Amino acid sequence: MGIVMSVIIKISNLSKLYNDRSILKNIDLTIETGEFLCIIGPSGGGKSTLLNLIGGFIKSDGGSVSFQGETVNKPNRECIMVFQEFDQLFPWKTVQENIEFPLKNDPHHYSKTEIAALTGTYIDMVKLHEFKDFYPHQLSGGMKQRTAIARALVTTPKVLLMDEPFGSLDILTKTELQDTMLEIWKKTQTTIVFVTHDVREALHLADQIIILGDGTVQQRIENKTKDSEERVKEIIGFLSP
Amino acid sequence: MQNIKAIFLKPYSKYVWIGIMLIAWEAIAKLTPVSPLAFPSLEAVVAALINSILTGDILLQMLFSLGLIFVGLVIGVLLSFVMSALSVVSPVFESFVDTCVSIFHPLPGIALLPLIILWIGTGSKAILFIIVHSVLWPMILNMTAGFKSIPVVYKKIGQNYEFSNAKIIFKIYIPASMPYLIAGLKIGWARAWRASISAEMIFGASGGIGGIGWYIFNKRVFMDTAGIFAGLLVIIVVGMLVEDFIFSKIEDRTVKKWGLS
Amino acid sequence: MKRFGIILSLLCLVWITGCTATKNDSQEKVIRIAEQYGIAYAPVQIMKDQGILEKNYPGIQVIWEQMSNTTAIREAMVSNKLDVGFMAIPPFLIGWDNGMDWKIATGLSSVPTGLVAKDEIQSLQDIENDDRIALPQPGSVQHILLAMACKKEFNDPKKMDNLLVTLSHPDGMTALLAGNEITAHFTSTPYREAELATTGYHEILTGEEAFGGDFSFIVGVTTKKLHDENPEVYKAFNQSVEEAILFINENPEEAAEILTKYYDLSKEDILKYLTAEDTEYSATVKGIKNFSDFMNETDYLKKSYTSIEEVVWENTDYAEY
Repeated sequence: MGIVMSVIIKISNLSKLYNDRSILKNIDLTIETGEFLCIIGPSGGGKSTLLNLIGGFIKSDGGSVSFQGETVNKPNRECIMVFQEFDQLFPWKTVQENIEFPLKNDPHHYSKTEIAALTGTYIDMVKLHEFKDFYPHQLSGGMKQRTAIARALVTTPKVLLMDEPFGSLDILTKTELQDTMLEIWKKTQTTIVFVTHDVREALHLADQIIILGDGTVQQRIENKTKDSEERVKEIIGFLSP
Repeated sequence: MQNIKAIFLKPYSKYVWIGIMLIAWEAIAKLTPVSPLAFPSLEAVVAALINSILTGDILLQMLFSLGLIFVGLVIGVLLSFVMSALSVVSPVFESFVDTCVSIFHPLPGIALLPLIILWIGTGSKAILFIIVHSVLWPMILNMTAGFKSIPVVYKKIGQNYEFSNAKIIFKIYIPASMPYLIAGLKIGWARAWRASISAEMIFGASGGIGGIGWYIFNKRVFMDTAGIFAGLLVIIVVGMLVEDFIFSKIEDRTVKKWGLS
Repeated sequence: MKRFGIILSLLCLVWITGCTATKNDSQEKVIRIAEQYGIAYAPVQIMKDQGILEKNYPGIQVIWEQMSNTTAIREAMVSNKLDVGFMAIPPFLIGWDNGMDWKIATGLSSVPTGLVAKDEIQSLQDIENDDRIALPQPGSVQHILLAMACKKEFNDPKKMDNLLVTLSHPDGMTALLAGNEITAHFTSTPYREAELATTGYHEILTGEEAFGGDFSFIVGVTTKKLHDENPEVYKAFNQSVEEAILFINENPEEAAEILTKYYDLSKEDILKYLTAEDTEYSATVKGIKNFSDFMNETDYLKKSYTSIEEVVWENTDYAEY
């Protein structure tokens, strides 16, 4: 990477209450194009809430999120969310049909050849070519998440929002998927905002790490030397003061 | 003993049981002092059935009944779809639909008969009204339950791609609630079937030859007990065919294939 | 397999004993009579109210079964749940034709019956394929009378069979007066009178015109079982019907007073119906041959009787033309 690009998401003074309790307090944050940003923090620290606010799925109680200079107040097709739940796939569609789904129903009317080409590219990218005619109930958890990632990427959105997508996977599958994710990121240059509570995962994937605790950004870390044990200790220190 | 037990565990065990029941029936008709007016032998029933097929209108009457049920089901499904979809979108409409369901669902269509005679008359329209009434409420219950069972994440996906509400309902909600819709359709079909037969037995011929209920009613008033059984036989056969060939095919192609059953 | 055989035979046993369980083991004599309501059944209510049967056969237990229609009565008599039923001649003949062991014991009444139609319909000729005729049920006396009229008018007794709608008298009246597709109603006292009192409706056919004479509207029918096994009870029943008829004919005022308990009508109205010119209470069975021959010719019956003893018990009065 190295070259600094333009700001794609700008968060200013963002607050969110939940049952009168402050989940997020006056958050300020900028995300630059092409960044792989991990948000880590303890459970209940507001990570998912922040991601949902960026995606426009919920309304803020103060401050704003802007995407490419425009205020976000509803979900938009340039910021696609990948969820933790395996049931984010449609069980009545095969792997291929699930991936085609956003293209076939897109208001921009992709042509048949475009749909075939895009679908093929992303099926290959997540290494599911042999399983493209399988229904979700015939897939393992890892394959389901691969399908979900391909579906999210197929419309070539500017930003991928990932809400603990590997949180329910075993460690081996998780590692495999993390590597796939890095490959994809390098190929597509998509901006990724990735929420996790796993410090090692964040260090392995991200080039920027945000530590969210107590409703505020505790620390922002440039993660150039990935996977160092020192960094793990450092971050764990922030998380458990 | 093990072999015999195995027979009853096969998919065709239904037919083995039917065979046993028929033998028991014939034995009772032949070997016990029951009046043939109360319990006709199988030959008499089969003879009555063949006679009704050759010289009577039983097949046309069956088609007439099935036609009415089909139209009633279509109207019922469409209405319940509109009402369920609106109640998913609007909480105000939802409370209205909930109220309607709790008022009308427990009300048997036949109990409405005196009012139907006054309002609609006694023709096919009245039977259709009873069929729609008997289909609508259980269908709404199933559809709204189906819509409510849909994972929240589906709605988020639809919003994420900026789909219209209509697209979310047709492309996501309907297939996602398919197991409930099929269950509702099965209940609706069974209810419509019963409603049309009982309504016909009370109303009589509505469109000239009438339906299968009217056939049975006529056999009853002319004391043709074998004919009554012939009518029942036709109803059972059609019911089984619909279950085995239509609904199980639909299930094979949808919920079973998708791993949702 | 052996175990299954045992279960099966047990089931059969339960079935058989279930069918005969209604036999009364006690020494007390029992008679089970179907109770129906209406001006045509007035002697039945008088017999019940005045305890005439209990007087004529001291110690008898009379069970009055509520029955909604003739078909139900007939089915109850097949399954030996009932000894006596009152009905019109055609439903009786249909049962007899299908092998029921029963005969007519007595006549009961003749009341005005007829086809009431909207004023636009002047005669049977005006009834078209869109019209619907309400009547109690196919095979009822009203249906057979309509078929008789159709035979005379069009030489086709089944001409109107596809226009029939089965409705009880009160539902039929509601449907006719509601003005939907029911344009005519074949009914009897007091529904006939109520409809004729409404403007816009008139009678286009009377039962007598259709039949070509006088006939018993309602007769009393008993099972062979009652007649053969309890001749004394049978005799007492016949005598009681006669006495009830006599009571109405001799004391119509008092009878009307009693009937106010059973019918939702005023004493004056009941008296008017009881004493109407074409209402007659009589134990003589009239018109059976005519019904039987017609129904046989037109295939509503498979056979007609050759000797009157096949359809009425001995000592029953009957009149033929």
